[in-house]
Amino acid sequence: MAEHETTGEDVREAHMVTGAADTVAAAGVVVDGLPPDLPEAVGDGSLAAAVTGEPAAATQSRSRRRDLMPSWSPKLVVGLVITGLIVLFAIIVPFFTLDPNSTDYDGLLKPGEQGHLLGTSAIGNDIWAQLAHGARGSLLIGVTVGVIALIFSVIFGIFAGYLGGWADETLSLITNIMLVIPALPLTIVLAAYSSSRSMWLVAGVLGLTAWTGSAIVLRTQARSLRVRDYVLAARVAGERSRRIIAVEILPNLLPLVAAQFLFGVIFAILGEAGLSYLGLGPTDAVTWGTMLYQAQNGSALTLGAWWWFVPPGLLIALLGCGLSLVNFAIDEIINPKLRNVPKATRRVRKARKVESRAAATTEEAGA
Amino acid sequence: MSATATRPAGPLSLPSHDAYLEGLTPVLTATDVSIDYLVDPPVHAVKNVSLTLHRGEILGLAGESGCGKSTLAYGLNRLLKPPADLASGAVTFHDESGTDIDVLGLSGERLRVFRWDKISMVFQGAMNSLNPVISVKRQLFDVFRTHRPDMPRKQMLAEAQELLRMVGVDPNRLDSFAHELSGGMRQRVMIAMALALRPQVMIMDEPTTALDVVVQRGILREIMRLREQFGFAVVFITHDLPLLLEISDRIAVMLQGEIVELNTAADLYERPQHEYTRRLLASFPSLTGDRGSFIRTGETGGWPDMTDTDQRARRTGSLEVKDLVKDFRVRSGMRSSKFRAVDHVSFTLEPGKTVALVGESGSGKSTVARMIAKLEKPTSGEILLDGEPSASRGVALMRYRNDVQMVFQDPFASLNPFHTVGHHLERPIKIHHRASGREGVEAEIERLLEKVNLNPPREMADRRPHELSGGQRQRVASARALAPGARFLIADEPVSMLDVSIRLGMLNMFARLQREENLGVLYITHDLATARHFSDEILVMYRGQVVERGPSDRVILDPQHEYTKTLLAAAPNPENHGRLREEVRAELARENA
Repeated sequence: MAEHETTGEDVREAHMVTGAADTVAAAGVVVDGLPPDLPEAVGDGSLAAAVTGEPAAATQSRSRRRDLMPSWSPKLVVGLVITGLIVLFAIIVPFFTLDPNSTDYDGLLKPGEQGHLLGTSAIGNDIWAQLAHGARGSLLIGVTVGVIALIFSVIFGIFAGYLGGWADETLSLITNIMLVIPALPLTIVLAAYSSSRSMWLVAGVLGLTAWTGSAIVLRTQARSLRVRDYVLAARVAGERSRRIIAVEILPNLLPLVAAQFLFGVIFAILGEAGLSYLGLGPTDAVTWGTMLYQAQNGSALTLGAWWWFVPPGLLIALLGCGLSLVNFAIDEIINPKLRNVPKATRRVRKARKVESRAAATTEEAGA
Repeated sequence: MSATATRPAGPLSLPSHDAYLEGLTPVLTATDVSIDYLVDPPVHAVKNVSLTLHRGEILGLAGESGCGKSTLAYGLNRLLKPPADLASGAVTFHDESGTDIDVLGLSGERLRVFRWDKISMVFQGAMNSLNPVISVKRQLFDVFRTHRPDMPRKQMLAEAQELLRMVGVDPNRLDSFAHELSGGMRQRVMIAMALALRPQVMIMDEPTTALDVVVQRGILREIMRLREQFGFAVVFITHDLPLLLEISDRIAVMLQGEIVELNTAADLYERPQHEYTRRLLASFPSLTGDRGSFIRTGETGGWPDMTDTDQRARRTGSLEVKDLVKDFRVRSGMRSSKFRAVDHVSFTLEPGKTVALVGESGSGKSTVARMIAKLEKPTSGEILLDGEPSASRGVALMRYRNDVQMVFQDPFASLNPFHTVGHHLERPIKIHHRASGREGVEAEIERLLEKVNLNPPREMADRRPHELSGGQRQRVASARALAPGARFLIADEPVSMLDVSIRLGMLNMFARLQREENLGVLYITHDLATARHFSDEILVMYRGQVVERGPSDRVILDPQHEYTKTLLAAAPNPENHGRLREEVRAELARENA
């Protein structure tokens, strides 16, 4: 009796998936002693598999973790190389440069003159040294702002989205208020209060205004994940809210969170440059922004001192570009369609070409 | 068995099939069509398929998901998108005027002109195939504007109104947008759009799959009626074989990119040649036949024995639902109104007994399930476990969850893609203290996986959901529901997302678990046939109310309520082959007279 019941279902799906059988006859062997017309002898992996003996769905051996990693697209490689080089530059080079704040050198030396790799500014700073230390400052501000924005956006976005109800209303209200506070005027106001602005103050202000966009994106995603069956199933199983957020929801948001983080970093570096250019940047540190500010003040453009403003400007643009490329690569994990369309089109076009060439040769041969 | 199985070409020359073909003129011929998906490695989705569609016939394309039936249809209409590539073959369209058109040779402007004009298409999801930001009128006008540029506006309007009238939609709905129409109406509008240029061939890709049976019946009737009036040929693609057997003239059964059997519907039903066709037929339980028989009379299978009474007597306890009511607030602008989704529903689940809750989408059956699973709070009414009111929070809720578990509809959504099978089972075991220690938990996981026939359990536990088939996932979900040691199981459409051929196997598993574990099962479904065969009692829900209840055989074979009768009449039944056509013909004759 019990035996019969078991045949009632499947028994064979493991075989199906591993593709044990090759032919109809072999499939019959797999069914193994069951009356061939028993409908439930039809296992999982679809009836088609039962008849042809081929596995219905090819199993992928790649693990989920690896699926979550971006595939090595040209975008990702170029983005990582650019970002990596700039980060290495910021970490290593400052140890070997002159003092960036020292004004002991001759003003406006051209690159290469008197051993100054990138020349000097009007007041005698070594540009190479400033560039290297500025990279440190800019990146530090960028990462700090990214982390602050990440924490806030996760708290406000995911909690609001998952909890719903009053918690959602309250957290969303705060998010919306913060969303409409513009970073620049806020910093100008803060700048008016404190004559000396530390790098951390600037980072804090930028961070406070940078998280809202991400929070709204994450909230929407969390809201849709919250009613996913697997989250409901976890609730039915008796999981607590905290664990559901941390274990069931957050991992599925990781690519999105990573993209939002990179976006936050780009925003911060550009924002810092903008603030500094207006003279509202940090007063205690060198950043690419402060370099541009000094170049503007020292009328580098009219003096034709391109080595003063081109390197920091170029590096800001490059870093933004590199991080954006990485971001696009992450985008392709979240939305695999973005990745597959160009590739698929190329393949079909290629097949077409091969075909028409083959047709042409046969025609020629016929002629 | 093996002789017929390996010789798919055989049925093509059956005498009855040849007799059918006499006097018919072809409208679309496909010869040796092969379609590949150029992924890595390439997938041959359609392999050397030859098919002739005749003027005015309904040709059914049957097969399971992934068999290439949709790919073939898209190929015939040149709608393939990369990476799909029509590798070889020829498709010829025989126009009414007598000229033959090489469909694959068309390109650019000539293809555009040809497409909707000669061969039109009704897509699967009407929700997605209507543009949500453009009114129905403008979408119909678009068709005329691109294909009949000389048509005056007034005539366009008249045509559009006529089209809607023909498909049974009020012409006043022309200014409506997609979201203002019901699913059935949207599909009717899609058919109107496909009909706009009076094509000679219509390809219908699962046109009624997402619809409720009653709505589906209306659409089918409309299609039959229009076919009688305009004489277009239809390629009807669906996995629902009983439906095809009822309405189509000929059926082609596809298996892994090949047509394994092609025959008239009546013959295919009476004398299936290919092993696969036979098995497919045996996957659909008979609605009105003997208990335990399939749609093809005379064959019965290893159905669960539902009359095992003495075992049942040993069980105690109950899950009782009393006057359950659920109101949803519907907000429209500043005003909010109440919508009663569940209206005073009462029933009792007992161990060892299966109660089926059947009804159309929106009837409130899933809301009942979610309330019992404590995912939704009832507006009023009680859920009593063993006679005690159930709690909605704290330790008492945990105890309730220990006894009452749920299996969700979509196995692709109910497992977290990030976690392994083992993790999914480990959590409920730990939460409900079913085992202690690492080894104890692992042994318990293995026991559960063996229980749902996932072998070898140790290997399965390490897999992630994307490495499993739909059926395997649903087995994991069932194991998870059993993990806390539940006594009552709520199964919300547990097989509706699975391929037809594995549905019965899955339901048989539930039946076995029910007996082995003394489970009380609430089986929620829209499928009357499986509800009958797998339950002791059926409750029919309609607009939030239980309109009929009783022993399953009685409800299906001798329905009392009007709604149950409608529902049963709408269910596809191969025994009624040709009846719909006759009805429609008679109707048209009456109208003309």
